[in-house]
Amino acid sequence: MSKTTHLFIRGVILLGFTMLLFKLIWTGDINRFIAPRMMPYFYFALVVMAVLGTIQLFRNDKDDDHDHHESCHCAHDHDYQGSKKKFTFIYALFIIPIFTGLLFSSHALGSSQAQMMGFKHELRLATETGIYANNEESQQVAQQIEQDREESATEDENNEPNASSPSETDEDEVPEEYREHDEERYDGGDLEILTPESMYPELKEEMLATDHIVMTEDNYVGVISLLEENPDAYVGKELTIEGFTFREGDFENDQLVVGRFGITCCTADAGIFGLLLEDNRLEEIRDDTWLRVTGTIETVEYNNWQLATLEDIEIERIDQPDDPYVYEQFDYSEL
Amino acid sequence: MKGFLREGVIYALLFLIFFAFLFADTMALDDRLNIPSRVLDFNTIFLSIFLEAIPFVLLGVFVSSIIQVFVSDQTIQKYIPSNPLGAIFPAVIAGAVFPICECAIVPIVRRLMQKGMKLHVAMVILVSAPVLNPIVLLSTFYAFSSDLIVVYARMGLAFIIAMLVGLAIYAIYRNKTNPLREQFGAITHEHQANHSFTQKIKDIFYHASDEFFTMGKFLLIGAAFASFIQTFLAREVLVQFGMDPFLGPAVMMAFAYFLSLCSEADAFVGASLSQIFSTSSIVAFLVYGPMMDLKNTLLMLAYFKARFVFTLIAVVTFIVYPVILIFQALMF
Repeated sequence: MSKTTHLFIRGVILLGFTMLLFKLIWTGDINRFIAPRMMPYFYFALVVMAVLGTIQLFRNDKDDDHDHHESCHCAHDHDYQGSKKKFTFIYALFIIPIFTGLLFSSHALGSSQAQMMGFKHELRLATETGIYANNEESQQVAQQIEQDREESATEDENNEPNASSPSETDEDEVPEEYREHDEERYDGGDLEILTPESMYPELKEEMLATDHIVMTEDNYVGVISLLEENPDAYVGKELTIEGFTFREGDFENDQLVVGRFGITCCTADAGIFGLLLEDNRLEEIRDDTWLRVTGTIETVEYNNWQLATLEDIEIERIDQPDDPYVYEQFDYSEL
Repeated sequence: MKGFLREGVIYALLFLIFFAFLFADTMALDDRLNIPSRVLDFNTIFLSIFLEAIPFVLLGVFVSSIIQVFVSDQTIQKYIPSNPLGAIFPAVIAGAVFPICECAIVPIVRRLMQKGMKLHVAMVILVSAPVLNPIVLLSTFYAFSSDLIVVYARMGLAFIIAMLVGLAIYAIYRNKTNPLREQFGAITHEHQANHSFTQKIKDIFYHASDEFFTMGKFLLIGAAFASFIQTFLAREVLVQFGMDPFLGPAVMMAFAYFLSLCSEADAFVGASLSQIFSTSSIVAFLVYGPMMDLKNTLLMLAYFKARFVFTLIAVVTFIVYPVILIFQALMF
């Protein structure tokens, strides 16, 4: 291939990416890949791609050749040497995503990816893979955890998030290794990672004050995090949640999770936020159905864990929202 | 005739892209072709990793082009202490000050080396800039605001590890030849002085475009691998080693390597896994990921000889792991 051909095809590829970015931004589908707060970078990329593509098309072979070819080993010319096969492969690498991007940009992650990432997979696994294996010891540990949880819950209610470690009376019964684990997880406030309470103080106040919590795109991650942290505090309140449905392998037919993906930077870091529900009427609902569910917050035990769920639910089918994901909101200025 | 045909193919390609650009959404191909959702998930994650990296690769390419065209070798030499070991500490500081992530740092470091920066100093910047970085500090601080030990450990250990990497690379490569691929070896740029300003600007854009293609192909392959793992490997497979003091950090390092997340976002993923992994495993995830990951490895392969890249991975891995174990022994 001559260098002119290379310059031409590269120009076309760059313009292809320009069109892809433009289309994604224009239709808003870009948010299926990237969190909105990253957008300024993509305006930058769009402009740069357009400029590079245009320049590339009008880039003259001779332009590069200005007298210094012998002395300048700036690498670019070596890029143009190689077999035809190699270049067909390399350029195909660039061209394929342009097409798959244009053709399939509206796809949103759903139940298949949710199953891969797992709802509470941490918790489920912990129970399955031996840390709290199903034996007597583990029952004790589970009880211990329950107890700790309840205690820390009461502490939370007393507004003492950093209160001291749980009672030590039962410690003898708990084997050393297990004790280490639950200490790391639950021992007081200083080792507990990510307390949503400290991240969403206003939201917590709001949720405690109201009788009917309505989950929106903006408070979604916050509400779920607070419910996971301390479900007991919200028992009895009404809650409305929207999301898609999915089941994991070990779910009963009448169990499913209603939730949405939360994105920090790009879809690769997506995590699932949702509630586990149980009701006869859910049996007929397939995975990947979008629902609006309203019910009363109750706690349920799932593999020895207290989770928030909804009772006496009203189920309503809805269309998938324009933007199926929710985004983790954070404000660096408040740090 | 042959050339004519080839041009025809490229024009046809341009037309096809334009056609897809205009009409793709009316075709709704994903429904019509009945593509399994897992394949579409793969495509979505693949594109998201690639798209996410594009602006930062472009930024890195531009910074590197600007260094190439406007900063002389002498300037670089002037600011680096001549004592090879004495240069390591300032290099970590430099890495910490500049908010450059792992996609952008590779072309910049390669350019600095072409301008005469010593290999081990360049590697210190390469591993430290993406993790010791103001933006990463903020996101980590946010994700672990109630567990500040993770924040301090991430930054502190990364600092120590970057210096150790510098020392190790210095020890191994002191007397060896330049590990940059031949075409990227040392350059003589006397001619630059003669260029007009417009020519310099033009050069920047030409360099940027060329580098986009040099790096892009590796980035695409890296993104494909990483998204394959995200879509087809259930997290549970790695996650079952959770609290094991030796396996935990090792598994989390492997996890970080293959996920290839941006260093700005990995703190949130790390936080979501903190229920099942010990604190030191989380720290291992947060320290190792920005220094070494799959995407980054492939980007490095664009410029460095394969052997050197694998040596660097080994060096970083075998420094991070013991440091994490020592940290674990001291803290818990």
